[in-house]
Amino acid sequence: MVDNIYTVSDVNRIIKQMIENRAEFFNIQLRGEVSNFRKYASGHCYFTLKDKNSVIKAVMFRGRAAELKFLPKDGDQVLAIGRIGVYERDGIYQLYVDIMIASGAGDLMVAYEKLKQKLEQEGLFLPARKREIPTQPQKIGIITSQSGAAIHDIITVSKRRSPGVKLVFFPVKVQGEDAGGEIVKAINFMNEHKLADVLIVGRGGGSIEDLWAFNEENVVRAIAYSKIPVVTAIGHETDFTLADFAADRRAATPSQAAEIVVPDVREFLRHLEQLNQRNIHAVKAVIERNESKIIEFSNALVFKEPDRWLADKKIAVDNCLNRIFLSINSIKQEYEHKYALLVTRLDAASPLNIMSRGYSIARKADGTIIKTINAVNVGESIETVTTDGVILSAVTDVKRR
Amino acid sequence: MPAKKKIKDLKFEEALSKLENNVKLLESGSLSLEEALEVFKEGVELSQVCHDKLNTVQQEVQKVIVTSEQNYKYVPFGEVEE
Repeated sequence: MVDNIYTVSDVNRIIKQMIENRAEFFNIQLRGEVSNFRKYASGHCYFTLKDKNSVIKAVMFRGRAAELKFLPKDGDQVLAIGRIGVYERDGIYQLYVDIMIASGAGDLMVAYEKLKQKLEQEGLFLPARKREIPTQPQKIGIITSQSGAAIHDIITVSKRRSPGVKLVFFPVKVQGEDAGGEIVKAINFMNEHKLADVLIVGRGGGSIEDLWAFNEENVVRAIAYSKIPVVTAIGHETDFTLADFAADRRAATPSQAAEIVVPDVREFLRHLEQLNQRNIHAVKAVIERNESKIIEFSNALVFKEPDRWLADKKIAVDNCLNRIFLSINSIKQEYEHKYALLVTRLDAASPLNIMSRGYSIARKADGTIIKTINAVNVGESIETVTTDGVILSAVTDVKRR
Repeated sequence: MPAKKKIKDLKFEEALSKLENNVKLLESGSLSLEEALEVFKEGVELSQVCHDKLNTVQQEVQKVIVTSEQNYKYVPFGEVEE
């Protein structure tokens, strides 16, 4: 049937859909032996995986290949995790590898890689999430075991670098079943009660099983979500735990963590000494710059010819005094004038002045001024005061008007 | 001028950054002789304060003991002897 002629592209597209729609191919774990391994300049890796009877093509793109913990070589037994896809152009199906680890690394490594991928996709390890480590922490929180060397190392280094820093130690188990839970609790507790400005979380090394708590999801999340910046110190130079990826800084050892976190007093002392030198140097420069002014000043008249300077000043003082006297005199005259006016007005109001116009004052012997006839009795002695003296008389009669 | 803290009451960082500013100001050469001497004198005091703060404080290691859900206490951690 002529109708049923397909193009090559059509067939490859159909096959691609058939294969890539199979749910078990989305995420598949394959065990096999590496052969024909080639890493291109682009960074992509091409190889095949085989077992006794069969082979499958595999590709690992640059981004994924960069995370390989080892350089695979032909004959290596590996566990590869990825998806099966079809490359239409060449009509081949192959394994697109996301993660590949040396076989025999065991289930822990598989779990590690899977969790790492998941948390990475969530963005938990993004550089943008990292908080800055404070340069001048007042209180340093330490979450580690009470018995290990880690706490001792951290205290020793801290003491050497900065005798004044406060260390807040929260003891936890760092291995065994309860370790993860205790570490999470400690991180959350220190955040909740704001017990530190920066946290060191760690232990002094060990096998991958010993370090396992630092690969547990709840621990990794607690570190990622901690408001207090976290420095991990898991005590391993080469292997990264997931906690290391979530931390704001990773230190290889507890001692190194203390070096990162605790400011070095000796550095400050050196800096201080430099500032002191600069301070002295700068003020000297200012003084030298002003030297010309000082010389100019000492050339002034007062130092050169003090007598003449003094004579000048005397004249100025005299002038000044004259002006003061003049103004005092004018003020004085003004007040004298005001005073004379007041005296004239006072005079006009004085009773003596009225009496001089022909009035006199009558008063009783006790001095009471007589304003009414009722104030005196017939026969009583009274006085009449005039401007030039007093007339004594006796009352002979009283007539009402 | 805003109320100034006494130099002795400054935190270490405050005193250090003030000292840095003073030195920069002095080095800029924009000050009169009188101002320069004042700034210099303050610089010397600040440096002394920084120095004292770096040297006088004692190392302190406190262990957190959680006493209940929400409570805790500190006890001195006797690990400091070498």
